[in-house]
Amino acid sequence: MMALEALSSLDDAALVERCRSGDGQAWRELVSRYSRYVYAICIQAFRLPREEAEDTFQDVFARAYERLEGLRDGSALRPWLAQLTRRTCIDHLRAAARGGAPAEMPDAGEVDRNLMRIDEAVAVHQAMDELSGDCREILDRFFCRDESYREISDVLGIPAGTIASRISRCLSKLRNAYLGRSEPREPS
Amino acid sequence: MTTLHTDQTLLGDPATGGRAAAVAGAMAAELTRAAARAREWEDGPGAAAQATALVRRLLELGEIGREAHAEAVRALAGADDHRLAELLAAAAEAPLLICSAATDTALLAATVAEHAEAPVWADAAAAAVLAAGAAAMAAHLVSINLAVGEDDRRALLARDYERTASEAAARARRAG
Repeated sequence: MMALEALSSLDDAALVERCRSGDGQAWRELVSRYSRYVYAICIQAFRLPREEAEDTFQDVFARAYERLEGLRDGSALRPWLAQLTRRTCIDHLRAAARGGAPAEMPDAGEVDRNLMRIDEAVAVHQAMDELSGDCREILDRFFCRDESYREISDVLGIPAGTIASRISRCLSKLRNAYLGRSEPREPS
Repeated sequence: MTTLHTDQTLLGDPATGGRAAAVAGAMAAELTRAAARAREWEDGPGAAAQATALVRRLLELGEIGREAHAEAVRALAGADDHRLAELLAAAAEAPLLICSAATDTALLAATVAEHAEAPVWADAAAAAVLAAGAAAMAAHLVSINLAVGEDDRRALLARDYERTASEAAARARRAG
């Protein structure tokens, strides 16, 4: 059995292979890797109420576990999970409507746009993981934590006058990493 | 031709000094973004992205500052005087953050001005001057806050930001 750290460094194709061989820790790693993604589709793309989103989330991973053998290309895990989540959300909304609950089917175009945004966010996060620790930290501090050049300079010990250029260089690296990752894949 | 209506407002209601400083800083950041995109250079896209983040940050701070200002004014009027010190301190924090973000805008605009050519250089230099003005406005608002003494950490920091922004504006002007 592989250590958890080693599992987290596996790419999707290798992780799917290990899940198929019955490795329970690999399955937990798969769920952990994609739980935020699946939940984001339920909440942001389909606007499910929290309780329904949690039920749908459970169903998605139950279906994924049952159907993983049918995934031909393990590297297409993310789009495959997106499609599975989409179908599961629609099933939940239809079941709610049949049961008389107020359920509104979201506009397909809006769902597509939200899915694209979620995919982009995931790709940016994954690209961030490929950067050096310094670059990750400087980008996180400026763009996510809204820290000023001076605060960043004080914490990281970098001359204040070079912070803007450093951020630009790190963004350029992030862009390259992102473009390297964002080749579109079709679910298999 | 654009029609201007006398009831239109740039600053919202009520208009406050903090909101004005934030909007001025955001305009400077937007001008910086346009100048950064106008010519291809290695750091241009990164500078434009930073300018975009500063526009968003300044506009958010303008709103936060307006709410903090309104609460402090209500407390000063006697409606909530047991929280007066706390509310005044909160009202000083937003202009300090606006001052900091406007200073970053001036620094970024100066960097862009140093890499730009005419006529874009003039826009980047103008952005740096406007951002320095916004930083000075915000520093003034910090210094006149009743909860802030002359040697208070916030007053000293605001004056330091103001000086940095002013130096950046001077650097941007010389860049042409």
